[in-house]
Amino acid sequence: MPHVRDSELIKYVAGELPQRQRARVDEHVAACTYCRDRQRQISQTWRVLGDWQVEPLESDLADAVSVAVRREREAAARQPAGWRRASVLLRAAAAILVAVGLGHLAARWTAPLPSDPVTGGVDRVAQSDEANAIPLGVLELGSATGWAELILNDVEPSDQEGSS
Amino acid sequence: MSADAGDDAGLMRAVAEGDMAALGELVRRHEEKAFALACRLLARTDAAEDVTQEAFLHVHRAARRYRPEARFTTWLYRIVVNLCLDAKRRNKRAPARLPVYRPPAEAPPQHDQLEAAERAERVRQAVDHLPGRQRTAVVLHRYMQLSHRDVAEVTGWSVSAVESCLVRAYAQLRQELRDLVEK
Repeated sequence: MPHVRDSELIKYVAGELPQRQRARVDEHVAACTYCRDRQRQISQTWRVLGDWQVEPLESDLADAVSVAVRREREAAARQPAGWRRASVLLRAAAAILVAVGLGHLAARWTAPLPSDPVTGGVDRVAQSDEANAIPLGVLELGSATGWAELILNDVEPSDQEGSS
Repeated sequence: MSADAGDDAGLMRAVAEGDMAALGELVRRHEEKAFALACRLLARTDAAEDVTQEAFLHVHRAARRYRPEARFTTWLYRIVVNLCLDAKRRNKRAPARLPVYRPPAEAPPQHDQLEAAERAERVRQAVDHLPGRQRTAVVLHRYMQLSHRDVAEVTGWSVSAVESCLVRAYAQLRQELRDLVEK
């Protein structure tokens, strides 16, 4: 026969079990030393816990609550209706601003850095600097093909051929 | 729903219509248990009094939205438990002892009374040493006399979670109060 679960014994001690289940536990506990011992321990713990009593409330709580409610009502009445409406609008505006701000930050964090050499600012500047750093001047001394002169002097190939 | 619970729902309807006498009646009916619950969860009388008052203010503010789907006490205890959790978080740095209840006595305390007070203090400490969820479950189950299902309704946990909390809590209490349990 399976032993009674701890949670069932707790329910038994607390008087939560329906009559049929209670009778079943009674029957089992009578025959099983292990479960009888556990049931006794839980019962004793339950009893000892009952030794802690708290002091009853001394002040008149109903009166205190009534005063607090009246104060809340007076505070609400002192606030003009227009102000109440304005505070709602202000709260809504603040919420929208926060949402826009968060969206902006999220976009900044998640968007990739511009990498297109034509439209991207950072890379374009970098490429421009690199291009400027190329020593094209050395080609002015005359290259093997003659193309450097064409590029540097902006001369049409046909012009050059005609003049030669 | 019991007659009392039905009366509570009627009182709540009256409170929703602005009847302050109905609110007073609700407070008088339930203040003792609500206060005892707060006392045991907070282990501070002053804070427990504030929490109990705040709980009834919540009841007043929410009266129009209240639907009597569960017992009024279930709803009230849930408010008290949540307010206690908030208060505990706020007052984590300033724990204070809850004075142990001693029945009024004209004569000097007898040996039995002193012993009872000591036992009560031991139990209070043992319950206070339980982890938060276990303490909430034990206070609701042992001291508020709620069933496992009712504890689950008040806390919003599953019934199996409540059962597991209670099994562990009673085991720890049995261990910590072993000398008293085995007397």
